Amino acid sequence: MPARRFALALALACLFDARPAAACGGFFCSQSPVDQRAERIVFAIDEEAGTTDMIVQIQYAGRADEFAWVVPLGAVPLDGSLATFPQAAMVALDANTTPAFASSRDCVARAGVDELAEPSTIELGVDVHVREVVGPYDTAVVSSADPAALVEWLRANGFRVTAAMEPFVGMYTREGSVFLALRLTGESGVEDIAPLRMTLPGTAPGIPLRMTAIAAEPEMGIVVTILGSQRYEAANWPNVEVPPSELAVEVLEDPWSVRFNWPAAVARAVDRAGGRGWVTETASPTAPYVDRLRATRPTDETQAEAIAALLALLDGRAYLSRLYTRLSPEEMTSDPIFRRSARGDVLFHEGDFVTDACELPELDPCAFTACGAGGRCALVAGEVPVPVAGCACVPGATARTMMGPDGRATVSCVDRRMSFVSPGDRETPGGPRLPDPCVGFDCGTGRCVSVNMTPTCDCDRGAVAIGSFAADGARVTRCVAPIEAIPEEFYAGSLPPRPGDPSDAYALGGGGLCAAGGRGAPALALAMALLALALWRRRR
Amino acid sequence: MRRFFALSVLLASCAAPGELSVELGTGEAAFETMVGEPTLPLVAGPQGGHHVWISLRVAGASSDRVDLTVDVIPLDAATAPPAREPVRVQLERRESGDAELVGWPAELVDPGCAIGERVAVRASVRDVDGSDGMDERVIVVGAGAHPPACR
Repeated sequence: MPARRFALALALACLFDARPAAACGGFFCSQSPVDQRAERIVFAIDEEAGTTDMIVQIQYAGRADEFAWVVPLGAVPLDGSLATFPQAAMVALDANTTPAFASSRDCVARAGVDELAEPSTIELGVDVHVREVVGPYDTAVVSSADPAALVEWLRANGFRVTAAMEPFVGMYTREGSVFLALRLTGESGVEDIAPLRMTLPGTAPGIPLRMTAIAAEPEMGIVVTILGSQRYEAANWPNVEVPPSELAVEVLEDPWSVRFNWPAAVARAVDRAGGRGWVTETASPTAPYVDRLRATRPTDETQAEAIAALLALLDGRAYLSRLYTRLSPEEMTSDPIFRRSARGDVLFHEGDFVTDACELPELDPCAFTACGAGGRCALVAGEVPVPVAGCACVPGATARTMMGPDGRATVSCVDRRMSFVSPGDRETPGGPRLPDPCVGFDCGTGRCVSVNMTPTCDCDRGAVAIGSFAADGARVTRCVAPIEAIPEEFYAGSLPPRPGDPSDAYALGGGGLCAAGGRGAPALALAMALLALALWRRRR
Repeated sequence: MRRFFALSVLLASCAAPGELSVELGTGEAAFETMVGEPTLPLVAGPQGGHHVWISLRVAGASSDRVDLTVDVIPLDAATAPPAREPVRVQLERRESGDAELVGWPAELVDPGCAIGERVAVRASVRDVDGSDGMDERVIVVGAGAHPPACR
């Protein structure tokens, strides 16, 4: 096989959210992101049929011939249910259900939602249940009782399976999971990539996060939208609320532009809940959305297609729940499951953000920063009058610069134990040894440490890490002295216990948690992990 | 008078100092009392996993955050499945003074083989002060909408 580099991608998401849609005059309007980097997934539940439509958005940036996507499922998707879903519909649904942050001309800022088969062939011991072209994708649904055979099949068909991933692939195959694999057809380009939709048996949605820990970024955002007969909320993870007192707003240079610290506030609230939790951003009947969709006059075929898709999705599903979390790899120790809830609507924080005048409180950069459970925010004197936020990390954690929810550089403390790939390792059998990403990386008053092949900084005690992007887009992390000293007792802190080895974790149902592990510990984890691996490959 | 005495003894035994009163029920969105050996349907997750919904009522806990351990034990199993580790959960306080945890997914290790079988569900709760309590009920596992095969 030629030395092609296969990048694997999953993503559930697209981005964007917006000011109240009513102000935009329809379901499609200009949008400003709150967490533009969050993974997003939609579950649409059909209780009568006992099935769930799952829609995931695939994000990928790379060469078309390198695109591959693989995801384990609990069962073969219903016959004929694999389909693409309009990108514009995904974006519009997200935009119209997110907490909307807006400022008015009198500097009043408020946050609130708008009111609103049978196996067909056997190859190499692998059952091929489905093989068909779906939109731009060449798809296959496969299973095997033999992990080695499945790994061999995946590799033979161009799906990259690293050494770190093999135990997880083995776990899924031993449990009888099926795998959905995608590639772009020869006629399709990256620009043709579209959200993927499938119908699966079952009505209790869950997200398999344990395996995502292999290579997830710190403080990864996840947005789950559930359409059903009533409200849904987390069953086996805490349902978390963000105190209004922790919400902050920054007025940007353009006086009409502001940014809110919602993602950072959610991350801190989740950390306080023990590292796992969900914030319900929206819980409301779908009727207002349906009315607005019907009242929207499409401007082109794309919008017309999106409206039709959304109306079909919302049909018969009276209620929408939207949940958001931000997690680091060390916090992904169990798989969240969602359940029906008897609680009422959430018109999120409506009025909580109101200020009477332009006298906004003095900006606290730390209010916009999430250093993670193993971190502490501290201010650093910057070149501009306003100090910048930096992170001190507890022993065992190192600082990593990444792109924050708003697209800016931000730093978070990562658990060094969660590094699954190291310099000198081979990603695949016979592959080249991985280079050291720390070569030439300057941490300032600290040392560079490779974590999942990404340079991170182990700052000297008392120093904090700040992050930025170089002119070429490279991520820069520097350890510097904070304005106020970090209390010595901070360094007595420690990271949470590390999840066990995948087979042990599974045997205990997810590190001992009562998780959806069961037979098919699920789908998205592998794909998300693969995505993350693909991402760090591209960043090197 | 005799009834009152019996009730007092019962209440005292349920909520002795250092001991929590735990009632194991079922229900996804609201607590439902278990009567006899109820048949609880398997619930399939779209991405895999099967569980039954359980709920709890807890009295006497000093805090709303407690550690919960749920074990599902086949009655005819030669060896018990490995004990699970506790999970910190948030109880919801009720006007009556006790607290509930509604809609907890109790996972079955080999759900396909458990269909139609009697299994014991055990819920153990410990509060921050170390007081603990436990309830155990026998249920029959129902097939649910999408029963998995026995492997």
